[in-house]
Amino acid sequence: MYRIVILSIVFWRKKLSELPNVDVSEFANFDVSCNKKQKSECAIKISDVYCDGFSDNGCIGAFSHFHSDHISSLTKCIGRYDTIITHSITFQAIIAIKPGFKLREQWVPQDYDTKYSTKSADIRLLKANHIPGSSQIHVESNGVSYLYSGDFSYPGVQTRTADYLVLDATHGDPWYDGSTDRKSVLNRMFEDVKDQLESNRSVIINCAAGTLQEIIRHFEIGYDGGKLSHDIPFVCNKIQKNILHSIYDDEKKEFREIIDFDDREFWTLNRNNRKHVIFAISPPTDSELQNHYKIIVDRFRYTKGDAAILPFDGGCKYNLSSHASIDDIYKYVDDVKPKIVITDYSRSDYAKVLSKLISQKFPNIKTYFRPPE
Amino acid sequence: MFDETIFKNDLLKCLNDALIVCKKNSDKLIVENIKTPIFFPNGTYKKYKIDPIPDYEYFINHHLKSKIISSKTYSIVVKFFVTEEFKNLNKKLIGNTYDNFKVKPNFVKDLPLKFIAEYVRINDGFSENKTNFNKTFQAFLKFIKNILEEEYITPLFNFESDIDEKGIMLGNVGIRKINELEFSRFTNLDDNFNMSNVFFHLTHILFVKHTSDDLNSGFEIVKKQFQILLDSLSLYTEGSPQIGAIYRNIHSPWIYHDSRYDNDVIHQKHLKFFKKDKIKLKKIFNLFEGINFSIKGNKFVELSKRRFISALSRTDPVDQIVDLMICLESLYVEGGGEITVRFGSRVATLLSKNEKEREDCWIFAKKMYNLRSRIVHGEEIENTEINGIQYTYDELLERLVNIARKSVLIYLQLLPQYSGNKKIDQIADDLDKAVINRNFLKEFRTKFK
Repeated sequence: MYRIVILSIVFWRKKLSELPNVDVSEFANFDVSCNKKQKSECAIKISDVYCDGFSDNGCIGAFSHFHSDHISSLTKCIGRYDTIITHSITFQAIIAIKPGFKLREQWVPQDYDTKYSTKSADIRLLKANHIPGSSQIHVESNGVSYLYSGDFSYPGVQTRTADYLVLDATHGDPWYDGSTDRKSVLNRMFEDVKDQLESNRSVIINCAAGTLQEIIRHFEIGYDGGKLSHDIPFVCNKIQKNILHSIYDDEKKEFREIIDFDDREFWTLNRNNRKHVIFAISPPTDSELQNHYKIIVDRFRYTKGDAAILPFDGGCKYNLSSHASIDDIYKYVDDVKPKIVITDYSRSDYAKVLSKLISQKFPNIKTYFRPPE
Repeated sequence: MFDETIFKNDLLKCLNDALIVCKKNSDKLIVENIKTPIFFPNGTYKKYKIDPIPDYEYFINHHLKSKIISSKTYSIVVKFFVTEEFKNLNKKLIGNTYDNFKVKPNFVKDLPLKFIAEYVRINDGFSENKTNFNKTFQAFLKFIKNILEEEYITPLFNFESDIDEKGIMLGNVGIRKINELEFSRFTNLDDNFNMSNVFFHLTHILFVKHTSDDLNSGFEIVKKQFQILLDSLSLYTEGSPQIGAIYRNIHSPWIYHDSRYDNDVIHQKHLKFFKKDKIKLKKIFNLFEGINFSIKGNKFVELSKRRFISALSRTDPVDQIVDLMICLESLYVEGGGEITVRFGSRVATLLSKNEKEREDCWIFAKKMYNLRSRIVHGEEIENTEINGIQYTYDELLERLVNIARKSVLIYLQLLPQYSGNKKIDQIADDLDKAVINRNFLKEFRTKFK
């Protein structure tokens, strides 16, 4: 019995010694704030601003970009917060998804690097170079500065120093640090699509929201070479089409008419074998579309040294990756010069590793992954 | 496979439930005016008629999909689709697109929907009809039993024949009369207000069935099979048959359909083929099937054949002459030095039956070689007189096409009788020997017909 008690004490001492030395007071103004039972997509609290999530205690909210894992709590936030700050493009995308939200008075659409002041803080959105309108959220309050990275791609971001930095931990993962040149990859994608259409084959492009709109814009306006005839229909679902027209309002006259995926018009042209391009945020599960040439953007791992364009049987994978590599993260942290870094464990399991890597690289910076296990 | 009787009963229950849903929503069924072609007795396009056709396919597979698949009887039918055949089809459809996805889609769960849509189309309405159910069921069973089989078809342009709807088979590939659906699809009749001239003469198609466990390899394989038949036709007799885009599964209501390889086809001399001549065509077809053109020693004949086919599809007679001469040079000229003389004597020795013919052919071949040289060096062609006869371009071409066709056909027969990588040299040596040795010539002639 005595032996068991001793062994148990030794075990628990060892276990406790492995935990980081956490000063709980450090998270009063700066944390990944999860409500009870919430395990994922928690709000990022920086000063009194709650980013990309909901908190019962929040009054001011901010949204970094319009990907679903960052705006999932939007409806709850609208019901609670007095002020919601986001980039104008993200705002346009949000009201394209939920048109009724346009009527709410809380919205403060902002441009990059423009100061918005509340009673207690100055808030700025900084370009994150992830998808159109994506922002880092920078807050200054009582002489202390905070920065939430959101999803970002380095270089190409605006940076500002901050005492406290919250890093989205989907970045820096060596499984996703393949390098790419977005413009040239987009150009190659355009040529690939054109070739397929010329050989009478329809195409499905599977990519995330935001990237989808960027690709359509590139095909219609951005690409400097030959154009795709507007007789070739583009197809996507209504929400993505609304986002496209909202975020590129000034340019939409140059876009072709886009057919709704659920519309009979699309299924008729598919049945009649008319070539077309489908843009989808998840791969269509209809058996009659599986013979299309498939372009899959970013959904696969691209490690260092992998080519950004990888053909496979029946299509091609493209890396437009909007994720930062570990070296990019180090440079980013070096630019921001924080005293404390939190990695967001609610959106990625990689937060633990990333926290450790940063502490090894920058021994003077305190690092934590939050929320704790 | 599963028990057909039990499956049939469950499918009928599922269909009956679906028909109730269809009837309830029948006000949402869209009826569209569809153009259907009408043909002259000789099989060419006459005009189109417009018929109001209900769009059952969209109505069931998309508009009512969620309502129909939520029934209990539907889920029971889907449970049958777990046998190896269905797994193979699903695997084929998935390919490696979903490698990075934890949950892979089950595409075969849509098959009962397709069955319902096809039944309603055949039945032209939502009533219960045993005969139409049995008819649809039999077609569905046939599909399941060869679930990975695909049908490929392609329009056969510049071709006239008495071959009927049932068609004739040469190896795996068949020729048959075109039907309304095929014509509508090839011409995109509903949206096409300016149909290309070649379609006004289109009467036949090539078809082939091919089984593969992936979605992409079939087209390439089938294209080669169609090309063999097309080459055989081109070598069989006069005319310039050509194929258009290759279409897959356009008759199948159960699976995807699509097309590849859109060709620009022009209206040219028609090849006239009679069903009774199938055996002659088959012999040429078998020659092609029996030769492996990827082997080095056989490649010169493949090049020659390609130039021959290319010449037939050209519109400019000068281009045709150059192509045909390259076709012949590929066969008869193996090295440098006195090319004109050697070329002339080899052509004449191989193709002529008597002294007079041989001399005439020798002079013609030499003259054509000189003509070709002048063309490629950019000189004007003023004199087309050969052996005292003034030829027009058309007459020159006609004779040259015949010489090229005969030559390629003979070489196809000679190839299997030689071995090694230098068959072209061996045949040229034998031809040269035959020029001076009449007994050897007789012996040499037994190698081909």
